[in-house]
Amino acid sequence: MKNSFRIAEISFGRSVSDGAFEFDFEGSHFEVQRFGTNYNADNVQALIRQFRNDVDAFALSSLPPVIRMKNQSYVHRNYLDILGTPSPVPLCDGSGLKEISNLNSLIRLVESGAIKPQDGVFFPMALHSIELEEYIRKSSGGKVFFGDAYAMFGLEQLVRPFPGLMTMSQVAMNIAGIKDLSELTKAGESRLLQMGESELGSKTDQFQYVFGDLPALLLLRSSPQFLRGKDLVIWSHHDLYEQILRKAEPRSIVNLMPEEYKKISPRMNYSILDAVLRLKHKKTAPLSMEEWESMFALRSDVLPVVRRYASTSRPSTQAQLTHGVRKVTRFLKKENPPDFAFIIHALSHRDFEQIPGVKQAMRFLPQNMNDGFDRLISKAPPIVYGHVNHVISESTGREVNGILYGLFATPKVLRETPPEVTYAKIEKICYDAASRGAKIIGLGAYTKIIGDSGVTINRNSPIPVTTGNSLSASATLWGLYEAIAKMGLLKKDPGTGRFDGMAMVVGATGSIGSVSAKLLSLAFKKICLVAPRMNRLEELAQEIRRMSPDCEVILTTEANHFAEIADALVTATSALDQKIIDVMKLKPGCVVCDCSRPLDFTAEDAKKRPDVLIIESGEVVLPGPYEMDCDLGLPGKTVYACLAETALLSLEGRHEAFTIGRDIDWIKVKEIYKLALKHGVRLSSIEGHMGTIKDREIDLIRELALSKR
Amino acid sequence: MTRPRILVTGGTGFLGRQVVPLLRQSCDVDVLSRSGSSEIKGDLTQWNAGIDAVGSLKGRYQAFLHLAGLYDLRASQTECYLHNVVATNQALRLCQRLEIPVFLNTSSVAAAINVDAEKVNPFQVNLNAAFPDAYSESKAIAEKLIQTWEGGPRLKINLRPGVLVGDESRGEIERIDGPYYAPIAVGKLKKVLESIPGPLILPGDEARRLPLVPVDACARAIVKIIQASLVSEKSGYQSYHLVPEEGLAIRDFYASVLRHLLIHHRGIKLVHQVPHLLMKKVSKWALGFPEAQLTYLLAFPRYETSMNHEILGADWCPEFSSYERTFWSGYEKFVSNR
Repeated sequence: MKNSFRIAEISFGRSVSDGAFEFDFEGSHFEVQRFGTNYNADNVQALIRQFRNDVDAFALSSLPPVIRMKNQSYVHRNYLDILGTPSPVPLCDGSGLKEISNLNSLIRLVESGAIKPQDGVFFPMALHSIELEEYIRKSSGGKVFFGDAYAMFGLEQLVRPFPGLMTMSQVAMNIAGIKDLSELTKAGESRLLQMGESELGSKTDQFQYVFGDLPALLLLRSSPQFLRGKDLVIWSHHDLYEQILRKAEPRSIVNLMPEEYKKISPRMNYSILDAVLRLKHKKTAPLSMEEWESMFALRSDVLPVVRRYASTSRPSTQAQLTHGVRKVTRFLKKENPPDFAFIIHALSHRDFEQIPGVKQAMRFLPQNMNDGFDRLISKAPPIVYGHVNHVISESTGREVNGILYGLFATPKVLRETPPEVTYAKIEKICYDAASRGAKIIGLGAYTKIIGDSGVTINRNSPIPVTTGNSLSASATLWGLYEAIAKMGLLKKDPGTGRFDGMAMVVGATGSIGSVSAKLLSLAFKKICLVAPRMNRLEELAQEIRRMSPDCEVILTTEANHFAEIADALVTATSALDQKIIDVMKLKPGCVVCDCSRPLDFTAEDAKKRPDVLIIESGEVVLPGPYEMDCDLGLPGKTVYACLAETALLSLEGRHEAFTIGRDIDWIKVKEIYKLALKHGVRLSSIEGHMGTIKDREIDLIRELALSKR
Repeated sequence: MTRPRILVTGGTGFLGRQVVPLLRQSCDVDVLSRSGSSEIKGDLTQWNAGIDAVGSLKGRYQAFLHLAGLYDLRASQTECYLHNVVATNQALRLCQRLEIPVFLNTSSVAAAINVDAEKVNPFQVNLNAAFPDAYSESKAIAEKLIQTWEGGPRLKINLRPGVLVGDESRGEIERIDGPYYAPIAVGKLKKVLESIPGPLILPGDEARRLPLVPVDACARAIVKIIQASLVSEKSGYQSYHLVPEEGLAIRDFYASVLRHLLIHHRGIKLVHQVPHLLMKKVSKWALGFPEAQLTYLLAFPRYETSMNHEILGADWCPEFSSYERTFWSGYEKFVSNR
């Protein structure tokens, strides 16, 4: 288990007091290095991109917070840009944690009398800690003063709450959202530095408490009247900064950060703490309000107060607008130009139901007209179906984006259409992808089977074409191996390292089938090859016998003859209407890997044989926090292995026709497997007809199989 | 007595190539480079400079000389930030991890280009005023970073070399930069300038001086400062301007350019009252003189150098007149070979 973590603290503030420190917390070691970015959002994003493969988490400090007013949240566009930077590791800014922890501490301090808000509380920037200000004003009856009007607009007024202040603040937030954060923060900083010279400096006798985080209070050093004799309330920990503050002779410094977290390191803020707690609890996504509440074990009477001031139910109009504008800008700027392209098509008639309006129309279509409908719709031009963005290599950190094209054609229609017609369509897609910047294109599902399996398309395409079959084959065997290991019914011969059983490959002379056969011949004592033509089977068998002389090879054109003795079965056919193998003939406990498209075994078949483990071909998960804006028909973020091969070649910068034609070079299968491991492509969970197959289900299948044997 | 060992970054740059051989005469030098072709493989753009295990390197070095950086007046703010600020942060972290007591950084006089003072002292930076380009701003930020870096080396020394020109003996350069743009720009207008009946009116300020430093003299100064730092017991932050005592008057520089180009003229008149923006636009449009370069020509302040005397003496840096001939021969060699 990982016990040592690296955190890059990226501060939106200046590159002052940067440094590195290490500490231990609850048995884990943490190494933190701070980088100031001088109020530049581009610098923050560049640093995230630079270190995202080296660190375990980012702690983003001194970012302008998400501001909660009237139960709505306000957020700056630069904040969204920063938090939207693709990163495989969590971006922690402490939001949620800070509000809950601070309110919890403040409520206790007010209840115990350690803080008396009625003596007057000054917030140099109340908007940055509005939950504390609201609690003091509404629940504790405290006298509150704000410096926001001065810090934001230079208005030399010590503001007290008045009717309409909230509306004015909301208007201010809308204006602030338009300006660049860098200008706003620099201007705010320089005003805070001169606060003592303003009208506000002469009214410091009206309050006893000054609430602000350490960096903000340090700016008030040049205005000692705000600090001397006052009680300073802060919420981060920094030995050196606190020493500097003490030189201004405050009456006390109260830290709202809980003691147990404050003491773990000489420097601590909520962003670092957020990262530490998420890493300790193995959470990558931001924790919810409820999770933070349970982590802090809040008192039942404190809970509703905290919820009242720290949570919001909806984004403000400003936040919604900012989100919308950002989306449009990203689209217009054509961000994320594609590095690779991939072609998919409808796998069945039902896939057309995804087109808006078609599902309703199809209800009125008699079933016997489905084929006609499929043929008609296949005349439609290809479309950009979606994108796969932010695929990031685990080893090199290189980021690639992909574009997915969709053909309106089912496998049946593709088979009936003359290959030249489909070639022409795909070649158009290749030219379009090249013009968008893609440097390689992958052929998905049936498009790689048509005609000469990509050879002609590659010849006429301006960018290299790959069928992706090398990784498909590799992932299939990868998946099968994991499933066999989990079933645990096959023993390995300690001498040869081979499974003591028989593997069967149906469709063995096909491209995926032949590679599967070769690789399985290295792992099993006996292999049975099934294909319609015996002469081609003989050729394959000769090759396998040369490669694996210790493996017994059985050939047949009828799968059902040997089905009942097969311990593992790979089907890689492209038969559309006929059943190649009868599920009832399978051996109890057999592990079936169905990589045929369309599938050889249906959900009904799987239900008939609960003692057999049927998995679909090994699909994979790409590295990085990639986003897909389309449905591939696979669960979660799983993608086709052939798509992953295209992405991998792009990550490696190998823009070449890696897999092309009917035959798959098994050396390339090994090579792409190594690339998959290098860049962090993982096998997705074991998938069956009904979705992910859990370990508990595998246990049940094994028990049933054993009882039938 | 064992020779001290120094870790150097940027050892293959224009200045690094002069410093490293000179430093090797008295010290053992390990150069850190990305390619791994030198003694130590490391990359300042990576976490922990790409060196995860420091075991055998800990306590091995007596000083760390950070010469690496990006010098490009047209680079973006983020590029300059990554190469000049983040890389310095990483260098300091490496210095801390290797327990090296002395850290020396090569900044630039450009870091103080926006300081409004009669004579700029080597500690001064002004982060609140605008900088003419992202490069100078990143150098100023990096200096502040070194000054305020928490923990790490006992002694931090910042060096601000002036405008580096070819070496004293051969004047060789590797690219056209800074003052070398002037002969190209002026050469384009040779006939026009010769036909002007009165004195030539050129942009510049009589009070300003160009802080030109031959690269070999700068390298010698850096090595001397390193040697002094190795025996020093001081701690904290020190900073030095590596510029000539007097510097080159703008008028003298123009005269030298005109002399070299054999342009006959009837005297030079400097003007600085014209708005700088207008002057820069005209120079760029008419002469192809890069705006950023002209900014420096017009804005170089005077630099305080008295703090160097204890280590370098008063006359360590030759004035332009003593190497004028090699300056031009180096330029001609580069121009004729490119």
